Amino acid sequence: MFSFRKKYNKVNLLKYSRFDIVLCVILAIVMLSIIIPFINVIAVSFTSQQEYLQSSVLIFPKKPTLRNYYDLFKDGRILIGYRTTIIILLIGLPLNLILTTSFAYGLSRKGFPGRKLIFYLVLFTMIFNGGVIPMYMLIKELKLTNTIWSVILAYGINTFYMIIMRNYFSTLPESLIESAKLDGAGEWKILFSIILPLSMPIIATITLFYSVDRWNEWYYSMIFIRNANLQPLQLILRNIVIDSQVRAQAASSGAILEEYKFTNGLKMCAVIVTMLPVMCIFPFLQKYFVKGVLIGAIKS
Amino acid sequence: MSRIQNLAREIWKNRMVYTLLLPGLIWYIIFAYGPMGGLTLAFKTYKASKGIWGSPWCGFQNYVYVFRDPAFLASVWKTLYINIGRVLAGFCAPIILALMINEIPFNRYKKIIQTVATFPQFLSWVVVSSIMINFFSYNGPVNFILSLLANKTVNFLGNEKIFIPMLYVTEIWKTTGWYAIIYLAAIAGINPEQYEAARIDGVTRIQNIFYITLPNIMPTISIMLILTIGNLMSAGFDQVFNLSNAAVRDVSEILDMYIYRITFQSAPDFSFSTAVSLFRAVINMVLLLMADRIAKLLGGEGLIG
Amino acid sequence: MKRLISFLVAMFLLLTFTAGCSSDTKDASSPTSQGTIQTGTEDASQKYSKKLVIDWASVMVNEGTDYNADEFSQQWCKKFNIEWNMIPLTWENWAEKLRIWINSGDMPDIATWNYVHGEYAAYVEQELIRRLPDDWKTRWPNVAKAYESTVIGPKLDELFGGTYCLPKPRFAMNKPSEVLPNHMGIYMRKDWMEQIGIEVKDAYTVNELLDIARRIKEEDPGNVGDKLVPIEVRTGNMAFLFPWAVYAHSQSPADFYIGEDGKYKWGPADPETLEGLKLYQQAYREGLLHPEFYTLKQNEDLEDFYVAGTAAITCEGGLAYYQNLFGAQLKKNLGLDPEKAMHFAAVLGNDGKYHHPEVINFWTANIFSPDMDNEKFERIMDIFDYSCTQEGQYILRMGIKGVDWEETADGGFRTLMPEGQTVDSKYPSIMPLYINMLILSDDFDMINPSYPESYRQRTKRQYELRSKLSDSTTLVPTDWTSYFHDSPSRRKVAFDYATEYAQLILKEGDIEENWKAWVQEKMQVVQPVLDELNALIGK
Repeated sequence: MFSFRKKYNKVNLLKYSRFDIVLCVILAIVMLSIIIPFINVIAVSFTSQQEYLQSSVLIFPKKPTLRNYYDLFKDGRILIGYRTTIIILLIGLPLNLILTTSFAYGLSRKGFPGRKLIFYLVLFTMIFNGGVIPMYMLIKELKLTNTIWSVILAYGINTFYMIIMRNYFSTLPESLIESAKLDGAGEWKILFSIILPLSMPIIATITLFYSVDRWNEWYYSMIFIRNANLQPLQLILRNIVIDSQVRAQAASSGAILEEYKFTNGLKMCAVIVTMLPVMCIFPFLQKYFVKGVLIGAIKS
Repeated sequence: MSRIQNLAREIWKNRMVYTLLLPGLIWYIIFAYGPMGGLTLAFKTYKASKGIWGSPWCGFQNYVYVFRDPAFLASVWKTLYINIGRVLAGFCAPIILALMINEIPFNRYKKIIQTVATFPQFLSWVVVSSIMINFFSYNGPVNFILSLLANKTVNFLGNEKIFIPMLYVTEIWKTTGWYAIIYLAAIAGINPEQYEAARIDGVTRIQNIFYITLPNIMPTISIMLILTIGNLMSAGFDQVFNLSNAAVRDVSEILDMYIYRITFQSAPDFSFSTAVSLFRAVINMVLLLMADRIAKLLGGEGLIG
Repeated sequence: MKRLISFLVAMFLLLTFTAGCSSDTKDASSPTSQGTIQTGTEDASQKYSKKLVIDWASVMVNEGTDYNADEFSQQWCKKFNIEWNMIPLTWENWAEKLRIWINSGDMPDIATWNYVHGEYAAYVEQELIRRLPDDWKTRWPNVAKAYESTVIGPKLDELFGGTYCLPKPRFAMNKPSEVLPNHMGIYMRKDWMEQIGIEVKDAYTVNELLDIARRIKEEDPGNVGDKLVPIEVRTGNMAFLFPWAVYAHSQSPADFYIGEDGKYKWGPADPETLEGLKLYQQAYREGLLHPEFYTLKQNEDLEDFYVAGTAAITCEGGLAYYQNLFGAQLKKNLGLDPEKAMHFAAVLGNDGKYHHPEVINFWTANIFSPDMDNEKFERIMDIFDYSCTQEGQYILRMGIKGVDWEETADGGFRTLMPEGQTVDSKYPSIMPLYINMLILSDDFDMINPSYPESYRQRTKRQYELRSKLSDSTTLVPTDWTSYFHDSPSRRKVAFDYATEYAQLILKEGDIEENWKAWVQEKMQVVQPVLDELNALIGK
């Protein structure tokens, strides 16, 4: 089977090479359009402010400097941000996955009473929400303000992702599940031993999405957390990169020093430093995107 | 009497399914429905001292104020206009990208592209906007190349007519690789036996795409479309906020920008902003249900099969 | 996969445990927290026997700084037996955070808050911020004096029947003129101007400014080349140079004013505003402004002036602090001597007069939590009171007496710090905790010895000049009726005039037509407000 496929590829390579080449060229252009701005960001992070202002766009600075990185890490906040965000990720991600997967699988089952009702109730929450003040009050009631739990729990299930997952589960062959039930397996066991292995692509996808969401979270932390040592990375990044574009009219003389702290180079530094770790998750998860191997294997 | 008994029996029969749903349900009840009472503020005058429940009702008064401002309705139309355009322009891009990536025979190259394509998503709009402003400014590289080729420069970000297409272009740049992942995952789940059977029938690669790959991921495509439409009124704030400027203010004040301007520059009026949010959510819901219905009519599965 | 899951579950449990432990340690604002009893500490009088921790949310708080650590702060903490817990707010989320916290009844002990009248009225009415005790002015007379000097303070007392906030005065002891003008002005490259023979004056009319810009563009004295921008100012400050410079009623809060017929009018609809817009557009179309000034983010315009050296004129505040900053930057980045290269001037209307609404003598206000207990409140007021005395001010501005500064024989003072060192670089806790505690530093700016004499003189001169070159129709006193007016209709009239005007002049076509259309569109929300205001004054 395997060697037969190899020969098949080789034969077709000659026949379809034009198609492939066109494809590769197009995709190479796409890649270039992404890489060039990124090179720009990296280049700026190694540039001094003066050089940045005097040349319009950089691919490589004439006088590279490590000053920006030094300033950034000396500040120390980035490290606090890393620590907080990693905690949020390591606790929050499993929470998200457990809640979402079990719920999505449950909803994909057919024939139980209340199925449509529950679905619509949940869909409702995706569209309607009560606003920030009631949320704050809820967190206050639960005595979670200024703790990391407020941020972790406030984002439990993303209904959008849940629906996609549910959709995927419902396309899995019913026969597998039936046979497992006949063998006496309960729903949870089916979920773990059959559904999950078959759904690796979608689970990997949703894991990636949740990871990135968790990594990029800042809004709830901004409201719920006052302790400067518990600020997540994105929030700190925002503080660095967004010099406020709004400035109270005719501010007094005491109100200026802060604006001058961050050069463009340092901002780009902060961007890269925040981005890098999470960009590494995807290659790690890529091996789960293998075509159909698992379904085939289990079938036979 | 027996209907209740039947119901009870059905529930008992499926009790394990309910345990599956239980953890998620608990979360939804506490954290999604808990704060839901805030929605009533749209019909109340919020008095913080009395809390949400104690604040007095005021009927549709808030909506009278909301609709009296012509800028509000203008922003609603603009939001619809820009976001429908966004769907038309950008919805297919991730699908096409996923199909293209899928067709590449070189595994290494495939993985590299998959990874690189996702990079822009990791940048926030704040950063992307400053990159874009840099690249498209009157003395930036794009205009530089244009002036060499066509001897003129284009005001990309300050021209009202070009601004909206620029929104689409930058959004496609940022999000395509990311959404392509969903489609790639769906493609990965296609049974390879179908391809085998087609090969035996002597089908070309292009035909493969149209007759096997696409139809198999149709459910995913339709779900994504429905969900995107259901988010139509809410999309785009970060992008527009960071990319827009005084020159294009007229065409770019979408609903969220309007709300931002009103609440930011004057006293906070939570009843007002809740009223506007509720209005927006209702429109989203209507759109969502419509999209769902149409999908079902066209033979698809809709949101819940 | 199974290994990954078990690893994640293990980490999950571990972190759950540690996160749970760490979240118990922080509850600084509890009113029942028992501190150590401090007796025998140098300056603690008997009434400060209990140590208190004060939560203060403010902008400009540096997140990395321990505000209790340095010597300066320690002196204050010891004297009053307190510990500071500073909660940082950024310019971007300041309003939103405070709004949410206050409306949810969970605000910190003190908050530095941007005063917005409608918001204030709402908070007072719903008792979300603390009402100061009725006798506070006698108990803390120095604070009361600073409060009176803000002008708005007593008016608020009258309006609301009590004091609910402490507006921070810009000038308490060294007020330069009776009716305060704004200190914004233009920074210019003096060296370039002298090179091509332009007269260096303290104030220029808009027309003169445009002429200067034209000449600089034509002759390019600095040899900058393509990148030269004669007038480089970002959107937010642009309006300052054109419509606002010629007509005070084209900006808030003077946009609503009582016209000659005794009824309220809306300034931006007046022909004078159009005049200013015409000048604006002319400047833009002639290429005297940055071609894409509307994309300039905060500081980009200033940086082109003093880092890259490609701008001839830019716009910024004129206090000695700013001048010092500009000078230092010019020196550091371009190697220029500020005395030779930097000039600061005011912008006048083409009638030779200075136009601006009166600047009310305050910026932001301190508000207090209604749930804080009295002991803490009184302690805070004691600290504020001390800071408002003459001695307190000197200490705040110049550092520790005897170490950083000393009094001179003639009753003045002299800094003991080496050249180039400023008080806020030596003691990180000073900014913004002490420096902006109540009285703002504009006040001291006039006499601060750490700035070069020439800058201070210039600031004073500018203030006097602007007062002199104006009258009550151009330097418009505040109309308190409209300033204090709040209603749902009023809240809709939340225009960012700088952006609106920029957008008007950038549109294609005839400016007059565009302006008329704009006025008509805005009138739909403005007219109800005008009606309400006219009703208030019985017309």
